[in-house]
Amino acid sequence: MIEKILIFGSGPSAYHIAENLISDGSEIIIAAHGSMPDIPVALEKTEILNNADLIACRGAVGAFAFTFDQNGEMLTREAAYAVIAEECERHPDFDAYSLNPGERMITLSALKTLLTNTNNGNEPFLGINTIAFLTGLGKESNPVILEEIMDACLRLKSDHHLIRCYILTENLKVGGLGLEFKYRLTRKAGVVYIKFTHKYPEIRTVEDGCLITFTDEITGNVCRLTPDMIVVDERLTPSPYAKQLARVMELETDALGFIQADNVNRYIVATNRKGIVAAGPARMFQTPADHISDADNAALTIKSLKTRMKSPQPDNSALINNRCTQCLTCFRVCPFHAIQILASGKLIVVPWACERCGLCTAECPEHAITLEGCNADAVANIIQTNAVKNDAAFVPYLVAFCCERSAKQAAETATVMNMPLPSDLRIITVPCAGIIGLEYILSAFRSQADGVMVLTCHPGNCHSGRGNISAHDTAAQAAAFLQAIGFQKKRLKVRTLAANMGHEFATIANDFEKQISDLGPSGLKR
Amino acid sequence: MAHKKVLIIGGGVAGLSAALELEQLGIGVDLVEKTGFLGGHAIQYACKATDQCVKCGACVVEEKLKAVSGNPDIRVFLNSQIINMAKTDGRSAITLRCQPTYIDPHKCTDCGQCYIQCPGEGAIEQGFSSNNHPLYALYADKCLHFTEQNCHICEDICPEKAIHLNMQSDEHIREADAIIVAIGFKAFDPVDKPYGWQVFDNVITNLELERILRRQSDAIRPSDGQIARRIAFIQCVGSRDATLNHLWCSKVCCGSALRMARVIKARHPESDISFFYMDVQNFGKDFEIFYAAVQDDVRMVRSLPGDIYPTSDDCLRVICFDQHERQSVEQVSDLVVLSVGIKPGSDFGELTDTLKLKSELTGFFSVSQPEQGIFTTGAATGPMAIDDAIASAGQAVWQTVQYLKI
Repeated sequence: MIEKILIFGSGPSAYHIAENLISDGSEIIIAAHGSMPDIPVALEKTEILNNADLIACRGAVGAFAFTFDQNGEMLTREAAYAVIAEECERHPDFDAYSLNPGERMITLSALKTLLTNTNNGNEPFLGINTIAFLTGLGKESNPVILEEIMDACLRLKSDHHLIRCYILTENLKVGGLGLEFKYRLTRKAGVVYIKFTHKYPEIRTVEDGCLITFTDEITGNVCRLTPDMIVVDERLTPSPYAKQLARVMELETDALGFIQADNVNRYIVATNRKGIVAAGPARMFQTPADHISDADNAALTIKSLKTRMKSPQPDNSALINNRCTQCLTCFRVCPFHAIQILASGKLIVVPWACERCGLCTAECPEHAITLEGCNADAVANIIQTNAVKNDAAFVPYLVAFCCERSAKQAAETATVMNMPLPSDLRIITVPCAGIIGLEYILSAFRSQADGVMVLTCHPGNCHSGRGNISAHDTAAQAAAFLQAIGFQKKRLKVRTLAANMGHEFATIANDFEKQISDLGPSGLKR
Repeated sequence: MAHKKVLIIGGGVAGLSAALELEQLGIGVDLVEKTGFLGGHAIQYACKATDQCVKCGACVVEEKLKAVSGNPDIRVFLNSQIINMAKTDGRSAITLRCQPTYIDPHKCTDCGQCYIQCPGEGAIEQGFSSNNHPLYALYADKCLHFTEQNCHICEDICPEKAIHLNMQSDEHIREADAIIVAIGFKAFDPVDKPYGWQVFDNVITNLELERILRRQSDAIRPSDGQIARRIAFIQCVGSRDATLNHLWCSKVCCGSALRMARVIKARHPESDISFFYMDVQNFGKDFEIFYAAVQDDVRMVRSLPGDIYPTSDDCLRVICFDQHERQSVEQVSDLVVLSVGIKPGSDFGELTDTLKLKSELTGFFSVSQPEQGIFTTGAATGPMAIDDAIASAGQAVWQTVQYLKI
């Protein structure tokens, strides 16, 4: 059995994680894209791959195989789990301020280097009396950068106390542990903050330095500043290699390209592939304290997975039967990469990796995949059996397909809080809206429903990433079909809900009941 | 592995997360909550999705509560507080004082009859989530049975005979190999600020608006039950305030207020929303995109109002210095929402004594003290959002696991 854990990265974040995993008795491999700097870890059990460029990832949790191109040679390593801990890249924002870099026009990183070099007899700040920092003007900055700027100012003030520091910004990003306190410290040390809201300062290079002109927003006075050095902030972005890792491993990314979708279901270090975690700056830019927190969470997540995988494997995952024609639709649609192709060409579902979203069962053209407790015929049967024959007055029979994680919870809240609800409402709980295929909706109408609701998670909130979107697509198809056969498509309603929206659930259901009451009994009713 | 046990103080999002993580590792958990409900502040928050999820994390708390509620390996003590801790051979014996819950969870069906028919104001409270069971909690200090010695309506009408007003308080001694302190935060009380909270009905806190949105979907005015059209959010009430010695940014209020502003605007596009602020803080992975979008929906005013006056027609006049116009301006609102700061939890002082914990200059707990086997986490260690609290809980659990050498 493979027990090794592969860590991608070579910076402080990878180091913290290695340290945690080693202390937990795990065997690790570190795959550095460049070369691994010397790190003071007890590395006797550790294999370090330098210049390792990931080109393929096969397998699933418990048994991954990672293939690297190492200086032109192919190299494969097996690991049960992997942690991605690549560092961010920094991009100076000279363009944003229309400035050109120079000896006196430097980046924040360059300033930090100058500050650490001063002890070696260098005097990089000779002749510098005033430094202006530009941060978050026109483009939002973040607390990570502000803390670095404040630390730099405190260092400048203690080592070179005659230097005047000005920080020019829009929103001062003090939303982090201890930052407001540090902000007060810098002010006490003499750092001057100038904030802009409507009009940014004008910055020009003049013969002997720089000229910053601006209108002070409080006094309305026009001010001029002639700093000897300008320090420009930096944007933190994922490295191209981190993006490559996401591509090769088919991991979800966020809007900025960081590994890990911007989805609350991925808190804290999870990705869409079980057994692969993204920690530290690989998933978002962070403070050094957050790196440690992420390293701890990564180690905990893996320890927890290891513990779970010692118990018998789940027996309720999706199953592929012998109707399978190996068309690979399921392999393509599974958001969790839980479907593996065996050497024989046969497809199987890896039970540990299956999250029971049912997307594969909804998409399989051969109906060759089953998921325990989810069966369109059984659902139709429930709907049919519960249809009440009422000759006296028309009471709409409503069927609501509810995602177990969201709409079902909302329905429960509405019920337990005694909110009024339609009198004949049948809730069909599904593990994820992704399972709702066309046959679910159509058979509900065939089984006496006067109205059908498909209630999913909000876009961006689906545990399976796109089960909700898939359900919306299916519902749109169903609506088009119903319309084509002359059936009122208003009898089908699609809405999104969250678990804590009991009141909204009641409102949606009651509005729908009214709408269906007005339409009268369904024409498909026998 | 010998069976280890951890006691968690506080049943908010950090405590719930820590309990679940420990349970996954096969570690026994006692979860001690001082109120009648699990879920802490965060369970009261509303979903703020517009046409898509805005990642406020409120639904995650719901999911965690559900997982804890149905978990036989997590023993929950409601209405309970720590009164003593004694340490022998690395293990702690913790004395809990458990106030009676009066409602038998095994019999209660959450029908709500007691809540509906209770004549005492605030004596029976309803929880926020269907995952709170019992969904109702009885508070003796407001109950007429205890204050006037005569009422027993709830006991009589309960169809399941689940209410026992003669239930007595109890003390338990629980043993634990480690303790996780997750007592959360206390909201700043804005009564001394010049904004008329508790003087004018329609001045509420952001936490109150969260609860209103959760229960009623819309920004309902307390004075007349109407939907507020003109809403003013005032930020940094009790945060970043040197006069109070609150030298911290509460971090979560910009996200909470702007997300609420957007969901209100999305549901009622005619709403007129102003946001009075000092500096907008980042929140969420897609902050830049959100921030760009919200500026189309909300009037951003970089100034904190000085005063609020009522108008003759039950509205509020908000007065501030407009930096752009460089003059005092006023604006009339139907509802004013104060984004109150996060303060150290209310049991902070007692717990520091009982558990001999260190605190930071700011009054929050300093990060864990592993040599004692006590780990602090969540908003008890400083202001944090739901995702931060979950990360913090994971970190505390990892530290606990290392301490226990599991």
